[in-house]
Amino acid sequence: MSGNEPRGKFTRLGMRHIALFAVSLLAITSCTSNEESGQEEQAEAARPAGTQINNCGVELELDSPPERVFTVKSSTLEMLLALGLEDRVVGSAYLDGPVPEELTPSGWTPNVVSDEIPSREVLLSHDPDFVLAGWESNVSADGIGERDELAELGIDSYVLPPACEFDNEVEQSVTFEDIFAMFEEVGVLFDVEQEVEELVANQQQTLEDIEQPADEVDVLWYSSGSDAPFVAGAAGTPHMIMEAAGVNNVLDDVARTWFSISWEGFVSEDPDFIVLVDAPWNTAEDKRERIESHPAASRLDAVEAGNYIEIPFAATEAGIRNVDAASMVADAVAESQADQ
Amino acid sequence: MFQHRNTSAGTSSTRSRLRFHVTFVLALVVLAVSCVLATGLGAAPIGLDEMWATLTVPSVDWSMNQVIFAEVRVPRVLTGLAVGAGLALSGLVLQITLRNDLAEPYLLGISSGASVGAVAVLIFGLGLALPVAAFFTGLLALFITLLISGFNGRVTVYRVVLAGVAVSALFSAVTSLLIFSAPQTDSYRQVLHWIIGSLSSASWETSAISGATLLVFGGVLIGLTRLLELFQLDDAEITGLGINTPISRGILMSLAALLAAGMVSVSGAIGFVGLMVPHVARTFARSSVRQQAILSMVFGAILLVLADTAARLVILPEELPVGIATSILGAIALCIIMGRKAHRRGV
Repeated sequence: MSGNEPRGKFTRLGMRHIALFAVSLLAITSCTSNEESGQEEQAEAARPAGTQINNCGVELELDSPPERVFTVKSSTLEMLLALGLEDRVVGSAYLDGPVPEELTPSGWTPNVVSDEIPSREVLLSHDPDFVLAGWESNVSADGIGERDELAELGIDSYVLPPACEFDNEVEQSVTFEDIFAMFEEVGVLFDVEQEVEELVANQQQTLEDIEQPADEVDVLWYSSGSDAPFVAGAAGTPHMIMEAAGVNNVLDDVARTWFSISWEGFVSEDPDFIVLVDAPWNTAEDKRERIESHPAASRLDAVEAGNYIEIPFAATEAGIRNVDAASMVADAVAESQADQ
Repeated sequence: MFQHRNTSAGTSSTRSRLRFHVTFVLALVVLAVSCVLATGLGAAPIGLDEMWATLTVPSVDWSMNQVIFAEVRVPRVLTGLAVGAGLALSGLVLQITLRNDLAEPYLLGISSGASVGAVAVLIFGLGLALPVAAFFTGLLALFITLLISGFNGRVTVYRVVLAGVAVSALFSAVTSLLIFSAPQTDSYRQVLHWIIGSLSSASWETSAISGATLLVFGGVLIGLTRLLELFQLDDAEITGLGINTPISRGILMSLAALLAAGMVSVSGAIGFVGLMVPHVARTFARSSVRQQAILSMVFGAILLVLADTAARLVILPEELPVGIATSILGAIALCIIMGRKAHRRGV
């Protein structure tokens, strides 16, 4: 089994690259045609009474934009804030950390209903007409309820597409095109296409402004875990962020979003930099201590040189903070190289 | 259940002793080969020359592979060796003293007790070393089990088993409660890793803890095999020999539980080794409990070292918790042995 595995992964990766290329081509062509046809459609005015999209395999049909939104996880709330939709949020749950200041409208505080996934009763008590969930697993029976059950109660739901098909994550690889497409979809749902257009333009500019390092820089993305470090493979947002920052993900041969690696695997990758994800429940400092107290990991060059990059957890989930995370990675590398 | 066999007949005794010695020597060879293999294989394969060089080069000049060899691989193999041997011996002692083939090291609540301490540390930090917390909550569970089963009164096999079940259920519930009330968590994964049993956090400290536990409690148990042998008789017969059966049983069980607690504290509750290995060992040494104990330890060590190597390799660069691998390998081995036994008996 072990003999076949790497080849299987390689093939999958190869397939993915081809698929990616195809998707990017599609995205490019559809962008251009969208610009034209989009204007035409708008000119036609009267968008058909409802908005219809397929979200994680669920047909979503909205007669009017949601007015009372319940958000689960930070990524969803932050996206609404970035689009100036704070007034439509009736409650939020399962935040991954504090809302960044630059996203917080003055005089506004999040209505955090629950630190974790609330029960369905708690959700219903806020009388939402829409649930915006960061992960597909958020809308399940042991949480706020399955999507079809919610729909029966008149509550539509949208799961951020990069977190769709959780079981099938091997097949997908997130790109900034996906992220921007997600913004656009949300823009359509909430009837804020103009705002989304500005947001995407800004984010694209930020990405273009990133100064990529001249040399090859190998980075290992350490999210959590002590016995077996939980690290980023080639399929998720961390990989996308590292690519945008112009650095190599040392684990890009593993077609997974996240996985647990062994400490010896961690050490044998010998990265130039280590990203430490900073979450309230598992801080970057914890991870730094763990690495530095590990007999083998503590001897890595990156560790001896103190080459760590701290990234807030919420910025690592598909959403509006991914571009900032990419800048943070590139800046940290540039800063360290300038010191040398 | 197995019966006490009178094996005083000369030839059969000589033959069984020969059988034991041959098995023992072969098993030691297999163990040695397994250890070398286990040390060489993993995310970073390490050749024999590199291993050798590690011993001759000062540690500041080690390559990354040599650091992995000396600081990760060797302590891991040593921990696996001690834990495997300890769990198997503990299982054998409990199966004999409780006269129950399904007895295992965790029967007295040790593993669920240890889980409470370990999970508390994993989820809430607590500023306490995980093995220490796990060891003490494991002991607490053992103490409660013995208390409930009426340690000073008439402790019977049934009372012990029932008390163990009750205490295990109680402590498992506490573990679940801790997990459930955890602040935001991706600690689930770590908890799961620990509960299934894993050697991935092995270090020189865990080697020392498990090695010392094996030397102390395992050593005493080996020294007490004469007493253990008596438990092949029934309680009335043992009492007839002028021995206090409940107290003897209590002492043997406590030693076995302490042995298991030390192992669980470093590796989590690795399943199946303590349940299965004694049965295999018994097929190679039917008459002598001491021989069964020695073979159990060697077989247990082999199983865990090999299972851990497999756990490290099958889904590279990830790792399976070794508890999964021991259960799979152990179950297969047990089926083969049962099949051979049935075949030989013509069943």
